[in-house]
Amino acid sequence: MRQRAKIIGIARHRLSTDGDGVTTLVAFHGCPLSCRYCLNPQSLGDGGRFREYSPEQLYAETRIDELYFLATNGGVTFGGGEPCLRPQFIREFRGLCGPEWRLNLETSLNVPVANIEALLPVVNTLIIDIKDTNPNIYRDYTGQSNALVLENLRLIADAGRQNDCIVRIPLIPGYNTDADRENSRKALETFGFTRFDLFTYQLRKH
Amino acid sequence: MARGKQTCKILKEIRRQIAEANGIEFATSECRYKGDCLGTCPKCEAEVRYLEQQLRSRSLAGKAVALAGISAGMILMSGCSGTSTKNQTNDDLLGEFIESPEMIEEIEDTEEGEMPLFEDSISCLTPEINCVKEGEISNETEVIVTQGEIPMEPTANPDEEGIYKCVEQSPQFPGGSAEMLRFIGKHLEYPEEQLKEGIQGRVVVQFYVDTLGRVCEPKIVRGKDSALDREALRVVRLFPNFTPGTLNGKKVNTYMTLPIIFKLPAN
Repeated sequence: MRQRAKIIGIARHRLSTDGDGVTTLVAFHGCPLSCRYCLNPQSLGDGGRFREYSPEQLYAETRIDELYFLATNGGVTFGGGEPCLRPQFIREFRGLCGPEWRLNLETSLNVPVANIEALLPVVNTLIIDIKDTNPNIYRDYTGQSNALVLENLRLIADAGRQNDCIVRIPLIPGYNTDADRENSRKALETFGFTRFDLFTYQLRKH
Repeated sequence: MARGKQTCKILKEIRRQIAEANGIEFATSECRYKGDCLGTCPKCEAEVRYLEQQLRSRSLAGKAVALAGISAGMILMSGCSGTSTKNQTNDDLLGEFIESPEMIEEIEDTEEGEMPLFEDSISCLTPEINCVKEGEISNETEVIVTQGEIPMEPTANPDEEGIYKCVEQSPQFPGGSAEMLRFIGKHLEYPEEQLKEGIQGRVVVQFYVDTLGRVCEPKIVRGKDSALDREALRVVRLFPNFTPGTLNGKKVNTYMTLPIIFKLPAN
């Protein structure tokens, strides 16, 4: 089947923001979660603010910065929305761009395990926004269960890819506390994850 | 310095290094694109195409091409930008959102002229006083682009509370930016526990300066640790009145963002 994906934005020349080197952020439309403080709310709903791309079209558009990618060990970071809803698209993209570009994912991991299985061999780095490992806090904030997240963390750990992951543990105002974050961190360490990014969510008016 | 221009400078340096590593004759020139710098412009893109073409002809001639290994991080840090941590580069030095190739074509149609810039008068200062700090202020609130965030277009209109993001003359700390850095250096205290536990990083505070110059509603837009966040807010609340920002010669309420770095002492 010919893959086409809805993309809400392509931001070039991000310098060490979304992974190493010069990267282009490609943000997909669509997400299984509905987080109160979503960074890119335009990824949700049917506002019509997206363009459809085939992997070939996206490659043609991002290739303009290939020289920078190769020179700085950069590449494309897929975000969104939830990029892991589009494993086949990303696999095809990898086929087009070749092995030299770094491909990164910014994901919540709240997707079927088969998706992550399909993606692990073709991506370099996963930037995982864990929200909180406590299922109640997670449900309060995202409206969803985190059972899949935990399954996917186990999958990544079993594949020995923990060092390719940066796990973001946010302080979510009104939802969790520093003590909760400490618990999340401990739970993640039992899986063998070591790279964490602790930060505070921005509050926005929507 | 405006974000796009800073990006432009770094990309230019990457191009220079690629040329140097491959013995390509390369003379970059000042950009003459009129309008807000997006980090790249037709002239910059043409330089990339030139390098690609040179590299292609070298590899066709059987010569080795040296590409990998230029660290954008290193370039960021060695630049005269007041940056010192990865976190800081995360927020400041970002490329601009280009939605489609059509936008690039539009840029090519604009006439040539000087690049209007927001000059950041303190961009070369990197004070580090007693294991802390370094600050850089900006009233371009849109520079706070977060990991994964697709930036929205900046607006010249005030928000619903009548506060502007872009003005002609940014609010000024009494005595200027360097004085503000000294003020922060004098008052900021490293929270003891965080010092002990080795917690460091960058906190970004946003506030607005009202038409009387008062610093209003400071809040954390990117936090690190609740104690560091609180300390940054405490110091911002001590600020004396600014000279208000102006637009069309009139004083207006203006947003400011201020990153404050907590850096552990070297020993």
